[in-house]
Amino acid sequence: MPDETFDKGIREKFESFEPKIPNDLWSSIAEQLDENPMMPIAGRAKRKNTFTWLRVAAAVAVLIGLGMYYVRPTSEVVYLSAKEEVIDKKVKEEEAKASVRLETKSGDIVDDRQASKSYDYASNVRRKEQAAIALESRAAEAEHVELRRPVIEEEVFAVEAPSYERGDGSPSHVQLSLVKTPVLSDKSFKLREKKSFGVDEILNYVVRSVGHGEEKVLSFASDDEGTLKVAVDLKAIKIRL
Amino acid sequence: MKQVYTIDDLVDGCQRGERKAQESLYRAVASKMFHICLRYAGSEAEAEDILQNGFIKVFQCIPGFRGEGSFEGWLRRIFVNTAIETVRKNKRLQQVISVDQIFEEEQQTFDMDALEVRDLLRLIQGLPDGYRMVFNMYAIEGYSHKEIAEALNISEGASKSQLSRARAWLKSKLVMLERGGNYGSYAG
Repeated sequence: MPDETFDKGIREKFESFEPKIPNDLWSSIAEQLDENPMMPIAGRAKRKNTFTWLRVAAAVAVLIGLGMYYVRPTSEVVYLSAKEEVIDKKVKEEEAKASVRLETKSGDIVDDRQASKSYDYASNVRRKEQAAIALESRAAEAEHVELRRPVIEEEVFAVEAPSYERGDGSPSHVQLSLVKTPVLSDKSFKLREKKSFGVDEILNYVVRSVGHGEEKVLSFASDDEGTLKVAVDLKAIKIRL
Repeated sequence: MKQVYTIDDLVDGCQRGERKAQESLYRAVASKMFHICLRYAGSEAEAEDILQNGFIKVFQCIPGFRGEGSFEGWLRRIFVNTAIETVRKNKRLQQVISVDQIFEEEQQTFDMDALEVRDLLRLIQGLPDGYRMVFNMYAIEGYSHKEIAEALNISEGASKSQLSRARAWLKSKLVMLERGGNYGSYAG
């Protein structure tokens, strides 16, 4: 008899074979189940779930960390240095324009000695008249509130023009270009100028009419970061009314 | 009115650890599983041990059953593995009889229909343990020699060899039985 036929005959013999089970076997199984209530598979599943939650928590922490890294505030140092670079570029452009004007419009030969002499003279006059300049120019600068730097340059023009006219009586546009370079290279003066003509100062000047002596209804202040703060004194309003 | 539960209902109850569902499942499948135990065991007492240990495993492992494949197939694998473990624990798997002990019979045909299942079961139980495991797994359960080799920790060649010897041993016993002899004298 072939092996496959033999195997198939044995298999078919057992197909419908269902022996009688021992009567008391279930009670033995039930007792053994009571003694071992823990189910190993369930235990493994629980540990797996725990590790899954740990993985999810770690992923959330990483995502939050990355989010905070990308939305962090930008560095103040980077902002200020970028601003100075723009100013330096403007100064160089103005210097180039000034040298061209000297040669073409005045028709006179302006050598290095004359230029340095006019610079010294202009600097002296500027220092003497600094306090008066601050007061006289506020009304004119109130129209340029939104941009601080251009306003300062305008002020320099206004200051230096009369000082140079008193020196040698050259045309005003030539005088302006000559004094422009030293103004921006004098750092101490730049700092004082920036402080005197800040946006908060200008706004305070504009709204001074609504003040009541020492008590200001509206007052402005700006910090080093360029943030403008507005203060409203309700008590002063009441007094004024 | 008596409520009728399907196997799936009983499996769900067992997964929740309900003792009533466990008992109902035992009553529903114990006979089929006991048949497997009897074929793999060397005696009825050993088959009862396999049946008990197998059901303990089933109820402990049933929360991990995800319904992939048939539940009966899952049950059969558990009971076959339990039977192998039991026989291995008794260290009888390596028991090999010499070829000389196999009764070589010239007659190779016999009437399978006239054979009683009980007689056939006793013949199989009388096989040496290694032969019995390989024959049951290959000829009745349908495992491959590779799977048998992995399960019994033997080589595929050893599996094939033991299967061949098991067939020869059984055929010789069946011939003797058909000749009207007392099969018990051969199966013992």
